[in-house]
Amino acid sequence: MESREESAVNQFYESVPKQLLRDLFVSVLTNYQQADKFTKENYPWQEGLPIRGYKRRADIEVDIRAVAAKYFNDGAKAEAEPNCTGGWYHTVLRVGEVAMVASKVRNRKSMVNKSLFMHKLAADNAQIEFSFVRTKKKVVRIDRPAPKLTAVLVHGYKKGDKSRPDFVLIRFPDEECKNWIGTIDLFAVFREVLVNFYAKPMVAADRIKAVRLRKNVIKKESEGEGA
Amino acid sequence: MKSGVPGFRGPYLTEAIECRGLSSASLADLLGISRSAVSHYETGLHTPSPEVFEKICKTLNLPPSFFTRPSFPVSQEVVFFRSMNPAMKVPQRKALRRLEWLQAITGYVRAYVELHDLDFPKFSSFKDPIEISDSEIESCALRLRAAWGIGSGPVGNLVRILENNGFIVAYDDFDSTMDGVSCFDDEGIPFIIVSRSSWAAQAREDLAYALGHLILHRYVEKSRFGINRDFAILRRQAFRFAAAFLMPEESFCLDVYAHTLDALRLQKAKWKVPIGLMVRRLQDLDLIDAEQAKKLWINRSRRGWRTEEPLDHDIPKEECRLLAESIKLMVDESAQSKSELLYALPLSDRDIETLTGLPTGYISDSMPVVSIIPPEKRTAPSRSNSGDKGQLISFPTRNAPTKEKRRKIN
Repeated sequence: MESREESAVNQFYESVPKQLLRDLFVSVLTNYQQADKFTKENYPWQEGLPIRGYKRRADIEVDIRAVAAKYFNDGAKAEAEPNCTGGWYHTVLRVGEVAMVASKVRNRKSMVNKSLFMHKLAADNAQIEFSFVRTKKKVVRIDRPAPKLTAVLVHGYKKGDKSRPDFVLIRFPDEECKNWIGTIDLFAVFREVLVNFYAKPMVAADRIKAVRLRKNVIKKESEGEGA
Repeated sequence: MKSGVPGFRGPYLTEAIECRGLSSASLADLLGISRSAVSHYETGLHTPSPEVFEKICKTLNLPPSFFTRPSFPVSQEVVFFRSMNPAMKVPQRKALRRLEWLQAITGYVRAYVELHDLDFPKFSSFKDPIEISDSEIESCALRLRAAWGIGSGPVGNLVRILENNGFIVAYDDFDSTMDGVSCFDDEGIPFIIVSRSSWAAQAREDLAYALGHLILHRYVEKSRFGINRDFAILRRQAFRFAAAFLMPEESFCLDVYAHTLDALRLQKAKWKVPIGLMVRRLQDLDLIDAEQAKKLWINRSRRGWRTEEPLDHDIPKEECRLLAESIKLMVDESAQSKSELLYALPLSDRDIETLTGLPTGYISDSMPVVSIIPPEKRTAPSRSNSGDKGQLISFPTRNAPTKEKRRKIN
């Protein structure tokens, strides 16, 4: 019998095309780089410090929707949904039986911040796939058809270099959204992408092939130049 | 026939007028002589007096020897332009003349310097554009990349790659409507001239487009270029080649994680091609449908990216160096002096410097000429640098007097 983690990972891969996952991964790498570049180019570091995170988050959310649009024919759909207070939005990507949101965390062991929408999604998750686990909290019912698996794209920056993530993971929360029950490490899955992304661009030979005088050309004694 | 400057040849005056983008009438106005006089000089009915001749040379910035020289060899091969619009005839004639001058300069340089042999794989000699399928174009582009050892990533310095493989490339001051011109000469040397005022990414697209014509359409009958329907096919094929050469399907698709302008903008820094060409590529590869492409084109216009795209200022222009290096070698090795060069090439030093990429003032040892940037290519200072911007005040509209008003005035 497969473990909870295996079950979640297998179910995830059944619904989400690997190419979509790859595009999301590239988008995260790109947006880390771009947000850092943007703030460094436009603001003194003091002002840029808080802006970087907001810019990165906004761009990642926009890109999740753009990537979903690219895989529309595979059933991917992403929408920005308001949170319970209506003052903040989060993008939920739905593909097949998976619902996924993105979140930045402090380190790879961290749990996502407390948020009602994640609790709701995680609760839905538990109702169906992990129903054998005893739920401690009352499950919140939501109107839309519940996905069978909830995933969170978690990422966090590298210490000392905020232009690149230290980890990008797909993680599956438990029914109370307090622990992770499964993980896909995108750095390991897309190692080649990662290497190519940060590889220094190959500098094509800018050197011109040497030209030489024809053999039969007679060189003259040096004479005064000038038109 | 009246006596005038001996050896003066009328057709060269026409050539000079075309090359400077003028008309006979405007030259007459500049010289302060009648239009019929200029016309007579052109047809060879009359020759100009020494005084008028001196004025002509000064106005057209050409040495007197230009008008009395033996003719430059003219290629009989088909010449490729980006548009066959009748409105483009004047700039096309100018480009064609400049191409002839470039061929003349190259011919002179080749007599002294061993330039690189043309190196590209043998492609099918298509005579009918309908024979050329999209898969054939993709395959040609990939074969060329393989032959030139470019790999599957972004093309580095395209000018250098072309020059190292036997192409003669030059930038020239074309009109804003003219992108470039290309052709083979009678000895099979490919020539490409692109507009100097284009941004670097656009110039790379223009070069790849010209390369597409040179590789795919060399053997297509000249007459097919005059037929609108056929030219549309030829043009589309050259664009497809340009896009396939600059952005191979396999690697480009992996990089474009989303089909949005913002995602494409990020790729521009890596691939160094205009965003417009990327949209075209996505459509060519059926990654987006016509409706999605239309949305991208509309958004591109809405963002004002038709005239200037993001990163246009940041991508450095690729310099043409082959002819400049060759001429410097001739001079440095005392094979020819600068004065001999000017004598052998009856063109102005400025023309030679422009077409070969030599630094301004190299031939005449003079101070660089300060030229005025054409108004349409003047770039606004970047936002970060602009201290205080002037306020734009529109001209007051004034209605033209109606016929009745004019009658009253009269």
